[in-house]
Amino acid sequence: MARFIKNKQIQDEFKQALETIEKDWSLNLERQLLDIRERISQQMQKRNMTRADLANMLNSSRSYVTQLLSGNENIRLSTLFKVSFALGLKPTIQFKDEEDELLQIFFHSRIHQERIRQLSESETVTFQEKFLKGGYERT
Amino acid sequence: MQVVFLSEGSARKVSALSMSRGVPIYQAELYSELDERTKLKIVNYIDFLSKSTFPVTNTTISKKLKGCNNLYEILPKPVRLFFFMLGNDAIITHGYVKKKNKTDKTEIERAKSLKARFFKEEDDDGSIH
Repeated sequence: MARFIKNKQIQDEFKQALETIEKDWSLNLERQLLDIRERISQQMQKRNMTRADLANMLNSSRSYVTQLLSGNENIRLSTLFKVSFALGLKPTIQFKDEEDELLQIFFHSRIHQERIRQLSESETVTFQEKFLKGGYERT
Repeated sequence: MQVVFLSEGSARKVSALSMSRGVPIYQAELYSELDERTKLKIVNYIDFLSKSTFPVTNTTISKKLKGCNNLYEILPKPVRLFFFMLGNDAIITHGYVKKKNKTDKTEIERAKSLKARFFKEEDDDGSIH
């Protein structure tokens, strides 16, 4: 019978691969391009546009649109914006500052530590009691 | 036959059929002939599949196989992976390294028979899907 199983090694390898991708700019680009390619394609479908229609709007060939959809890694930002605007989409590019994110985690942990220190200072109320009464949130 | 869990995204779980020891068929058969980069590419595509809306509209990423019921392929070049849907989740049957533009008929037949075997065993098990 078909059994649904979890293999820790396989799962860990998969997670590890995702982490590797997260750290590598070109693999990251490839992943983001998948979303972009699908988004463009979805919008074409929504607007009932064929590849030829889009090519016409862009004054380019049908094969150019096919190339675009099949993920040319070196798509220019200008091309991305041109195509998006032709489809009535406005792209936004977000930057995630990894350093900021680390600082935030550090900051949160500092606040957390401070709270725990304050709590342990009061001798009458244990941490657990205070937490259960909801006092932890208020202090 | 076993189904081994790979990843869960915001849209669905992705698992793969496995024959023994819980190693997905596609990994057991393909990984020895693939470089690291291609393996990571496959992971990218599976991650996409776990988060995207279904069906995927971009046929250069994934498409339904013509004349087949509930059988799809996903295309991390030069690899083709076959999968079918179980409810909202995706289950990968197997994969092969693509040599021609057209999908190989014998590989489609194999995907079909693996899928059939899965559903037959499911039925024998008395579970409902």
